[in-house]
Amino acid sequence: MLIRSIELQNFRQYKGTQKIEFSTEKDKPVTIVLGRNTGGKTTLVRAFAWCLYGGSAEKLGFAKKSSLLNEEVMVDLENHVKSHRYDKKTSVVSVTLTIETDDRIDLDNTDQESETITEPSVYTIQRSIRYFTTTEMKAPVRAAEEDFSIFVRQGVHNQIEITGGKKQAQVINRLLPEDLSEYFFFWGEKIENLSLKRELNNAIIKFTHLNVYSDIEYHLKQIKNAYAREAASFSSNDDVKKLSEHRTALEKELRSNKAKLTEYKKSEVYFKEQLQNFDQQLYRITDDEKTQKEIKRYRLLIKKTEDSITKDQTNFIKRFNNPKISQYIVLTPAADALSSLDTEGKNKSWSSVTADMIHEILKKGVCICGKEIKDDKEAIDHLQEELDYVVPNSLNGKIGVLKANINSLNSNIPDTMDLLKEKYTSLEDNQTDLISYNSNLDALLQIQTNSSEINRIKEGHKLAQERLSDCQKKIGRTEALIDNTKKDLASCDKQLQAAIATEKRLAYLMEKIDITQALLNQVTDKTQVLKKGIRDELKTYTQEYLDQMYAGKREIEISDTFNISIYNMVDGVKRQTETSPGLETVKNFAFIAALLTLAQKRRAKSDELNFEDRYPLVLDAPFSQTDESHILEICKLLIKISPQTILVMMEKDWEIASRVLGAEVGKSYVINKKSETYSVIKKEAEN
Amino acid sequence: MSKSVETIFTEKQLEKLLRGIIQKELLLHLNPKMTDAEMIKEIKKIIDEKVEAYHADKIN
Repeated sequence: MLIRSIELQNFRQYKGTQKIEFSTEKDKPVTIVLGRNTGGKTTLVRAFAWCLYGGSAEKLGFAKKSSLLNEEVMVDLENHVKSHRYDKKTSVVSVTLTIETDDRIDLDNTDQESETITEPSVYTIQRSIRYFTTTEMKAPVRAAEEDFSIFVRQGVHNQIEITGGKKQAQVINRLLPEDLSEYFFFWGEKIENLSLKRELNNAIIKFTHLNVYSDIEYHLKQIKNAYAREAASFSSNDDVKKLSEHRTALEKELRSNKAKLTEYKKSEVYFKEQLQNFDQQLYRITDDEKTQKEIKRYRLLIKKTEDSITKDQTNFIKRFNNPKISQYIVLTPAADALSSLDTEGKNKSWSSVTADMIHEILKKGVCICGKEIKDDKEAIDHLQEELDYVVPNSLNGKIGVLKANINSLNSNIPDTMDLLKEKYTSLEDNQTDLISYNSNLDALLQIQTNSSEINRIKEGHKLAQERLSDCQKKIGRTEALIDNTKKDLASCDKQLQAAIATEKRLAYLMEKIDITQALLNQVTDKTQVLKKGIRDELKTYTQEYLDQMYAGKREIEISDTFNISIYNMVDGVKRQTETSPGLETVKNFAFIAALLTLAQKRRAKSDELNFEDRYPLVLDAPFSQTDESHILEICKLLIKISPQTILVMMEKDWEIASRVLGAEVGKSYVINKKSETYSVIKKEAEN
Repeated sequence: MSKSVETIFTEKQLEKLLRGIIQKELLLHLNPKMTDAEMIKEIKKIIDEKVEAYHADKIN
């Protein structure tokens, strides 16, 4: 970094606004500000420190309870109150530094690589305190809160403000850590005691940007913790092993239930068949009951029919034994014969014509009608044939008697005969029915089942029904179980999938934790290596510069915490030696030079850290305790190592230093002390 | 290095990863707008991407 300018406003004796522009030219890197004792040289150098790091007047080395505001301005404010003016009057003390750095900041947030950003960054850093009047006579002037602002501009890019205490502190630490600032902004006699004051561990870490590693370490630890927190947030319910075991158990249960269901279904089929079989048997049993009824009915019918037959037979015999029936039986053929005679005679012969009459006609040869028939053969044959059909004269009377008898019987017997006939027909029908009934009864007797068999079938049917019902209940229950197990399996699968994803995520997280830890280990190792390298380098350079500047031979030691010690070598043995203020000054310059050289060398070879290699030296009366030869040696060294030197010194010291630095001066100023409370800085040319 | 890290990275690859993180840290460190939380997020992203990429490669 290079300081372009400092602007003071009412800072101590620098009343009003006064500005110094420093030389930033490479070939003329020195700016001198010359002043007398108590002129404000030390105040000027303290202004740098106040602007960057703040602090009270006391911390800066001013008198306790003194104000940073110019005393004349302060009195002016107090007078304002004393003069009973109640309007509020304010005044500001401020210091503004303009600093140029090689920071390659992506201000536009375009995420471009730092190498592509070539413009230097210019920081405008301002610290101020506003003082204002009050109406209280005891405290007529009060100071407001300290105000601190940092603006950064890169090339033609817009200027942006860096806000937030932490970020501002980060910027300042990167520009120049406060711990180390005493090595670059020092005033009065401080330089002699620099390295003795305290350990420089933190300062060197910041200066060499090793704090980036500690930041990385911090960030990696945060990342590792974040991974660990995420890993810990996974619930144990998501345990894949447990869920897998649960799934296996569910599958086993499902298989078992399916097997049971198959068995139950087989049993169901079996019991259904059995039941069907029993149903058929029962149906047959029902038929048997019908058969029994039929048998009973047929038996009754048979008995009734047999009784009826017996009765009919008795009646029939009784009626048949009637004498008229015997006569009727005897006379009936005679009646038939007579009937036949009557019928045939009526057809073939002349009724009432007798054989005597036919013989008479034949004899006379003349028919009753008078017609001659002697010669009529046909008529004679016809009469001859007629002779065959006419009743002989001997039977003619008896037939008559018979006919009369028959007619008499026929008039009495018909009803009896009809009744007898009817009875006989009934008897015949009953006999036929009886045969049929007996035949049917025999058939029924063949198919009837016995009662024990019926009981067995009924028992079997009942049992089969119970078993079927039981089996169907089991099927229902098992199907419900299977359904539930399937649902459980689906749910388990879902959980398992989630758990597998979780486990995968967890495995990744564990890997990430391990990787982060490995990176942390590397960072720690690297930090140690770098720190050791830095210490070794610092020792080498400090020794080198001490040898160049100091006439005698002294050995440098740098502790792990960067504390510098100086030794005297006596017969190859290191002995801590008492040092004079002159030797301390030389030693500290050697250390400052070593720091600058370290920065430059590390930047040259570093591919990782964006080292700032330019640090200005702002020195107030640096050579007051140093003899002439050392002043010259220090000045030679300053030219060699410092990219910018701001020397605030007395003219008598400059007379010596200018022998070496005269040609290096780019800008020079003089402090004119007007009064104890007012000094004016002027460019030398204007003086 | 732990076994799981060795499976994923060689010593050199891990160093390269750290270098990448350092570069990022530096770049972010310089950025005045960048907060710690954002820096952590950015560095975490680098590690996440590396591990995810390794597993994606393994699957392919």
